[in-house]
Amino acid sequence: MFCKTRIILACAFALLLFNGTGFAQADTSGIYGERKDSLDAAVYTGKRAGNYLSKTKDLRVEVISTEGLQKMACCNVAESFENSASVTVGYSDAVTGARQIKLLGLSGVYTQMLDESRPVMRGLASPFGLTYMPGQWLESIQIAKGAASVVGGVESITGQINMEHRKPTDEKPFFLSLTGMSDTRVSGDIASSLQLNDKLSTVILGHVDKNFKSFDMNADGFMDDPMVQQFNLANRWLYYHPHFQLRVGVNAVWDKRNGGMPGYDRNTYQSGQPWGSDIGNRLFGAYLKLGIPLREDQSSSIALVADYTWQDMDAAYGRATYLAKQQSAFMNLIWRNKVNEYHDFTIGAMGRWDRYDENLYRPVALGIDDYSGITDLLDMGLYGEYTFHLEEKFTAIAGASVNWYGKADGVRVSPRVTLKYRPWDALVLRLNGGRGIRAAAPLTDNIGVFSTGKLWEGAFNHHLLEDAWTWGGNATFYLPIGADPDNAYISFDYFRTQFTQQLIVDYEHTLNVIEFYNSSGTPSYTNTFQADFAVEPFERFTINLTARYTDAKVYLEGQGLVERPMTPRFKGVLNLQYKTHLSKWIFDFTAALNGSCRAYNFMNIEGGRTPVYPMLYAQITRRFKGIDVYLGAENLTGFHQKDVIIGIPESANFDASAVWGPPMGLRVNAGIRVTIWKTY
Amino acid sequence: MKKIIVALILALSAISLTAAPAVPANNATVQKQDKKKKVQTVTFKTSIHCKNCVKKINDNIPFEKGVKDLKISLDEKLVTITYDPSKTDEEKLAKALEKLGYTAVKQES
Repeated sequence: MFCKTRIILACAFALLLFNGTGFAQADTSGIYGERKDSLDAAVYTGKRAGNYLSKTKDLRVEVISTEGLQKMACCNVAESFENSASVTVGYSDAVTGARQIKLLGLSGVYTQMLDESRPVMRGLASPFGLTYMPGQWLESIQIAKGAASVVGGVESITGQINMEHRKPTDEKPFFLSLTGMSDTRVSGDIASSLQLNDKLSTVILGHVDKNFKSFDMNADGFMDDPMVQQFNLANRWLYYHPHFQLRVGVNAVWDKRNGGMPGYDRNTYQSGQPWGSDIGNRLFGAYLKLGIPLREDQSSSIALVADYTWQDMDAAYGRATYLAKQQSAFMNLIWRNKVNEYHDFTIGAMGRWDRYDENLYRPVALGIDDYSGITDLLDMGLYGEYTFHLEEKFTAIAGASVNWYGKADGVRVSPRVTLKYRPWDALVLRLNGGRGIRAAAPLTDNIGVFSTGKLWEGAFNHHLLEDAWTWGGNATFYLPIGADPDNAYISFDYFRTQFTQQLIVDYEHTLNVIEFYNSSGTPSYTNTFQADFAVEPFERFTINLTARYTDAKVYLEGQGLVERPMTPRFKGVLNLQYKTHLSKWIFDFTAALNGSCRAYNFMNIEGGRTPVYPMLYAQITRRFKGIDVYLGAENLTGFHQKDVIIGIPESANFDASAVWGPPMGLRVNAGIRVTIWKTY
Repeated sequence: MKKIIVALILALSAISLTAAPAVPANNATVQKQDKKKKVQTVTFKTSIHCKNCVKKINDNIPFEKGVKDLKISLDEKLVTITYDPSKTDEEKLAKALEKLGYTAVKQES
């Protein structure tokens, strides 16, 4: 067996080193050893629910396990959130196919996306990043609400979503997944984890995604989904040495998507011809993680994380073009020292540099939006975090990060605090709060603005530093009911985010104009309340029920404090799973009820609110030795948004970005997963 | 909205009430099976050490000929297999675990 002792040591080391509040800490364990959920695994269960709330994390963390990722034919990570009530996933517009998530009632750009502790899907990658992360590459996703550890930087405002990949040390030399959908979309994934010797291992990951035909189920002349071709490749390495661990990796994405009306050609387009979008994205990334123990008992250690990303977006929307390049470099140096069983602290230094090279030319009915320029964004800081543990009963974490954001924005201090109290085994209480700061990418954060004929005005080319405070708490009661009381609980959350500075994208101030402005000094806020219930009433049958209520207000010029538009007030999700003996057959059913949103005033919807609508999903999986075969269906009721296109292309009121529901109806999928395990 | 909240509360209550109390269902099930199908149970002390080991065993051992039930305790490193003795035996099951890369020492009950 591949170096088991070393893997165990690495796991233990990783846990000792990074068992703190958030992913920034926990994830860095990836530098040193095995997976971050090892802590849960150590308490064993032979089975694990698809989605569950972690008992051990200091933050409120929902885990989507491998089983959860397989509940649907998740071609990419965006689709894996369909099961989760913490995260809402929708479309940015009816043209590009860009997926957008919402956490705590706010856009996904306020959620820090992490790839095993490294911030990813930033800037130009944010609109399509979720579709660049194949679900089959992942072994779990953790969704943390609230202000996470300062160790990962302070870009997270509403929370963090961390994605754990298949590991080089996985004993799976071959994995293949093929999925076909009734809308002619096919996707394929391949993964190979190879242990070359007892020190060196690697994992190679490949993904391809393509649809062969487009559909227009709502008969509005626009394709429901763009024609997409995507290739995605990654290679990760681990070198283990008793005195250090080194992880390096590279990844590349090539993505081409044509949306809008069939027949659009960016090279020959003239007014009156079929209008559409033609977007090409290329991305290359490389990273390095080095971990060095400073003491034999591994109570002190130093780690270095370095990351570089280059991306290129070449987009045309009708007559408009947006050509943009982004280079990003990130470095984080972390020193952790465990003083004794009660006290430990972490000190670190981090730096980030982003260079945007943008070229925009956008003629619309009311004028021309034109911009060309290079913007350099800096974020350099020092941080420290102190943790007090009182066995498993109480944890208090206090941290602060002092960052310099360049000459214009100066120095900002971001404090963060987390408290976790477990008075007895069946009750976990958490409190959490802190400040988050991020630089906006006005156009790619709001990619839907391209799918309109409206004139842009204001700060659409300014990377405003957005600043917010988030605080809240969670109480989870474990219930002595069902076949598996460890996974039977009822949980309540409350979180509030209050912006001190936010880039507002206002569709409503002036007719046929989208205004970008700074909300500084206005009282925009979001409150979210959520209740989760999970139980296994009898063996192998699990029930997860979640209800969420969102009270989101935004201060808009001319209107004052109003309900944030296009933000569902509530959502409910019911997930049922039944497995036959030895899990040879698995039946999954998910029902989601999506609440209404305040519609934009130009949408002219009766009552000013979008309707409540259901989404139903079902999947049957048959497991054989090394092979899973599944058949599933999405949107069983066939509900889809009508009138998603407002106005006609090139007109001043044209808008294809007011999307609140699914653009397509029922879809059926079938697929196969083949896994060959290493044998001896 | 009120109706939806009431419906959710009712659904929660109904589920809570119908949820069975925590009983050692596994043992009861195995005993029933033992009587009904004349199956046997064997427990191995193994070298499993992480969640991935559990997954590897869960993905492979159920598909060994004659295996009727499987329980794994990561804390105790124990793998308990219920099997049909007319189709397999302890030696074959131990070999199946060893083939996956784990030691397998039979525990006397």
